[in-house]
Parts: sequence; structure tokens; C-alpha cells
Amino acid sequence: MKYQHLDKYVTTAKQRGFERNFFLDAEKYEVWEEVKIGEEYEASRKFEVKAEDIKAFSAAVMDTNPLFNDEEYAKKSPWGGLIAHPLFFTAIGFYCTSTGHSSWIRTPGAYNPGQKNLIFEPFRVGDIITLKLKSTDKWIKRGKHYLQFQQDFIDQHGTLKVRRWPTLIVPPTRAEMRKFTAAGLEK
Amino acid sequence: MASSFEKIELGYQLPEVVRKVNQDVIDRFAVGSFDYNPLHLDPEWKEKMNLPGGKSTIAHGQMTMSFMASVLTDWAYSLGGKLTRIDAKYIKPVLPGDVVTAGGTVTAKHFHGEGKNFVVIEIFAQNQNKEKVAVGEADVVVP
Repeated sequence: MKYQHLDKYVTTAKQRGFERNFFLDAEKYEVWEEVKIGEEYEASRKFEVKAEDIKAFSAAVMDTNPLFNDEEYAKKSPWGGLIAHPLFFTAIGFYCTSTGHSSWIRTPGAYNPGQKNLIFEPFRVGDIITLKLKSTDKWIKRGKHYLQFQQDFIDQHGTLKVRRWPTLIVPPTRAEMRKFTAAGLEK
Repeated sequence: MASSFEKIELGYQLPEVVRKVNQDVIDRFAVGSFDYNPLHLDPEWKEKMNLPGGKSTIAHGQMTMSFMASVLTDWAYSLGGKLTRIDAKYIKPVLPGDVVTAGGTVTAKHFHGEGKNFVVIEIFAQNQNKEKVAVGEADVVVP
């Protein structure tokens, strides 16, 4: 397992089973030049929200708000139960996309210039989230290559909980990407 | 009695959130978010690459955004409010050792009727040198 020193932070079943080595399947990731705008698809993995997932994310963002951490407190609040920190969609997004479409978000060397997020409902324990994706834009600006997708997070009842548009600056070609992955695989 | 929405004044500054970032904090965020990009975790690899932050690893942009979101939820959820939009642009990398302060200012009030009224909040995050690392905007529905 890569980054074994991170084991001390692992507290959930999903975290235990997750492949941490983003170099490993890099050849299967999409790259900028291959992405076709307008394509729609569904991530193969779903995310069933458990209390431990919500609490682990709260710890990761250092937010002690009891609504995100304390089931008893949250049950008595107007929310009626534990809710996730608003940025919890980050964890769902990375968990659900490993290879194939939208896997470019794992590209070693990719970085995040900003994003837009609409939040309709908080994530709750018991939600089974399906991630639907659509490639919405790719562009070049000041020599950098940008990719943008729309991500829809939909629960088992068909409720759209979050719609967001993550953008990343990525290597434009497979050859360029290999420059980043080769250095990681050498180790 | 005036509602929470009615009482909010344009220019109101939300209480700030301060977070100390070091490599342990970045590591824990990687586990919590499932984002194991070596940009954040692998100093040896990062040193060889021409990427933002020079030779240092950098914190996840999502972590910086989470700090700004916590400013909004700390304030709004205690009023019975709800965060419905958050947008951010990252200006400068956050490095291990940085102390990030996040905050926000109410810049607009939208009158859509009870339960739908919302405020627009300009949000920011800055480092210990008062350099902006991220800016953005959010909508919060307030009862």
C-alpha cells in the first residue's frame, strides 16, 4: 500500500479498501486531448453514506460543528439527524471515479484552479449516491490546458443533492502525462 | 419580530475561521477526501516537477474551500440557514506551515419570500502574510 504512513488516519471501511497509488493505473486515465465535450456517463461505483464517512470527513476538514459529528445532537436539531459538511462531495467524487471517464481528476500533476458548486440537499446517513458526469468544457489559456466536467450527485430516490463543475489544469497529452507518472513509478 | 434575514446588514463580516496547515493536516485530508494526488503527498516527486508551490507539496484546493465553507456553516446553520452555492478560485498555493484565515462579507440580499430569501457572501482565504490564497462567493438561504 502506497503512503503507509497515512494508515493512522484511516477510520472507515471505504478508506481501508481504497487504492492510494494514483500512478498505478495512470495509463487508463483520460487525458485532455481524448475528452469529447458533451459526453454523459455514470460512475461505476456508488457511495453509500455511513455515519463514519461523515465523521471522517469532518475530521479531515477540522470542523467540529456537532451537526457534522454528533448524532444525538443532530437528531434534536432542526436538521433531524447527522448531515455532512458541505464539501463532502469531494470525497464522494474521488471515491466514485477511479478509471475510465472523469478519471483525469486523479492525474498526477493535475491541479485545481477553482470550481462552482450548487448544493440542494445535505448528504445524510443512508444515502446511496450515484455520480453522473458530463464533460462540459476544455480550453487553453496562457499555455495551460483546462478541463471541466459537470458532476451530479443523485440519491436512491432520484433527488439531485449537488451539482458541481470541477475544473482542473492537466497535462494535455498522454506523452505529457507520462512525464509526471514516470517519476512516480521509478520510486 | 424581525426575521434573521431582515436583521442581516450589508457589509456584515462573518466570524473568521483559522486553520494551521502542516503536512499531517494535508495527509489527513487526502485520506478523508480520497484525493491522493502526489502533488499533495510526495515531496520527493514534487521536487522534480514544475508545478505550483515550487519544491514543496501543496494543500488541496478543496481543503481551502472547506475552510471557507465552515465560515458559512458556523454562522448560517446556527440561524437555521442553508448553504446553497459556493464558488471559489484558487490564487496562491497553501503550503505546509501556512496559517489560513477564512472569512466572508455579506454583499447582497435577495428578497424571494419566506424560506427562500438569501444573502450573497463574498468569501476569502488568506495566509499568515495576508496574501489571498482563494476568493469566491456563496449563497446562503436565511429564514
